[in-house]
Amino acid sequence: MKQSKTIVKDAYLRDTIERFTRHKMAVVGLVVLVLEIVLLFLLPVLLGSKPNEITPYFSAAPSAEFPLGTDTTGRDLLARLLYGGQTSLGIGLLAVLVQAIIGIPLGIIAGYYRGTAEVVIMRLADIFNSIPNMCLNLVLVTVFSPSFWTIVMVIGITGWPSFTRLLYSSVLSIREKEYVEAARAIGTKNSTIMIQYILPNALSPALVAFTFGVPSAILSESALSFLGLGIQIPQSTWGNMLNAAQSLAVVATQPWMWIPPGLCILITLISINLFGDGLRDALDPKTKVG
Amino acid sequence: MGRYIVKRLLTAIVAFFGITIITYILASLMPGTPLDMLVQPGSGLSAEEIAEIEHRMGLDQPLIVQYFYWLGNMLQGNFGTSYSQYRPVWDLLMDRIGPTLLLSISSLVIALLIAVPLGTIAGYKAYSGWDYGSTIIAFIGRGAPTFFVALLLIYVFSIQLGWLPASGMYDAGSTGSFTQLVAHMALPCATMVLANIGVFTRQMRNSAVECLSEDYIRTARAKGMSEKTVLFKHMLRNALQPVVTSAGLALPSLVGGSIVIEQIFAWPGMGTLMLRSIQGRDYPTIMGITVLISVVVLVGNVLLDILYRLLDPRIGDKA
Repeated sequence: MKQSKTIVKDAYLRDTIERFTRHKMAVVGLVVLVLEIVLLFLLPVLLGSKPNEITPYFSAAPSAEFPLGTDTTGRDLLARLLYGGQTSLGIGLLAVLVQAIIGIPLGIIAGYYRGTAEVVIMRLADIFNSIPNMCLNLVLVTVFSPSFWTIVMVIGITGWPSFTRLLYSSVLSIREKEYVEAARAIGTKNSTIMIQYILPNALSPALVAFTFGVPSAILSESALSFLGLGIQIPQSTWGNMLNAAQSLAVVATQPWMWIPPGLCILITLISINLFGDGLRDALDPKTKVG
Repeated sequence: MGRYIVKRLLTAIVAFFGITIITYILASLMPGTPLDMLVQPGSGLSAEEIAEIEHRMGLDQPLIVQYFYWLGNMLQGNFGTSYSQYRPVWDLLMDRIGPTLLLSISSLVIALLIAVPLGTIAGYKAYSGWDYGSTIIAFIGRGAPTFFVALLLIYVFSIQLGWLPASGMYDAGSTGSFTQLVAHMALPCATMVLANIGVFTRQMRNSAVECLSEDYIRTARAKGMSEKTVLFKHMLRNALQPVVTSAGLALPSLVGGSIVIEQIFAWPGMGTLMLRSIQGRDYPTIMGITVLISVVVLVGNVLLDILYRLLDPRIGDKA
């Protein structure tokens, strides 16, 4: 019995990987992403980068010593780009994790119990959705002064409804399945049904929502930091590196300060989205790969 | 239809109260009380005088009473007085909402006007060069951070080419003409269009592909109708619905995104006011903007839902 279960699981995994690799752009996205993460963590060690060290060269153009130049206070921009990337990706992942931890249980409860729980939770999700995330983020960072963990929590708190909605709609169909009915008939506790029968079957949409949540969380963080209301200097993120470009003089004469972090965000978001598209199609055998 | 509209309005009213409650709770969590703003340290006021001010402002009441007090005032158009500009918040909001709506709505309309034909062609000629081209544009649009796009546009069109102004709504010191407005709006508007066009084109393309495989299209073609009639009369109306939905879903991010875009282009809208109020810890203004922006999104969604119904009368009264 146990053996047959693993065989089925392996076959499912193999099929999923096969469907994913047929998606050429998704594979490209994944490769770029892996390469980027390796570089972000390996290069600082190899180069011995010091992101916060202030050198006497203010606003220096790219040179052999500073491949990406220095910022207005004389810090090495390549070092800041690498460490900033670690921070941006870290916030993106952790913030979506917070969204998932809040959003997934709420979605399952709303879809499984229906009735009052459904009305309260889904209305709350609607309300959160009608306050623009950016607006809510700004108000929240005013309440809680910005730091790594508060930014993670703020983006986590504002973004949960997307998980809830998605989980809710898939649980609505899962709860009508025979195995759920059977479990209920033999008197299984509701909490057990939700965790052991419903959650595993709702994992694919949750995984896809997670993947697409990361780019929007990275975008939120960089927008906040760009405005000077996110991660504070000296800690660097791609967003607060772009903050220098709030001055038109920098935009005009020192493009090395803002083009590299902008391109990094762009490349990261595009690769995660490509990967997410491939993952979505691979996890859902019904959609055709095209 | 009438019943649906009433029902939809009722849920919108519930959402409105939810928004005000969330806003109020957040504002009450903000560091510092309104009293700190009015009574500067060293003002020489006695404890009794401060208590008197506190009482007159209702600040000695329980939080829930204060909430209803605030809500009641707000429903009568009294949003309080701005701490930093000493003007009624309502007046500030009314000065600023026009430019924000002008920018957001024209960007949304332009994005749809480009995306619908582009997506239709891509869907009609699926898997052609057109299709792949629009896919690539869509992907870049989805991944590009608006502020980075805005900076690139400024760099190219304002600084290198010198064609378009990079900030404000009119030239400084002038009374302002329509041509000036268009020139100043071009770059912020282009930024917002680029940010949204990708998703809309993709949506339109997919729904065109789906519609074209429907039986009624085959029937129409079999009856010998011209391809033009098939496309514009039969397909477009049906294929438009998902795009209307995604325009509705894009509304909060459109309005939210305009905060950043307004800041970059010094556009005199709600976004720049919001950021200035946050820097000045001007709570009545922050609360007023949050509520007003959310109400704009709420109203926009109600209108789009009703439009959706009008496009497709087959949907029942279940939602």
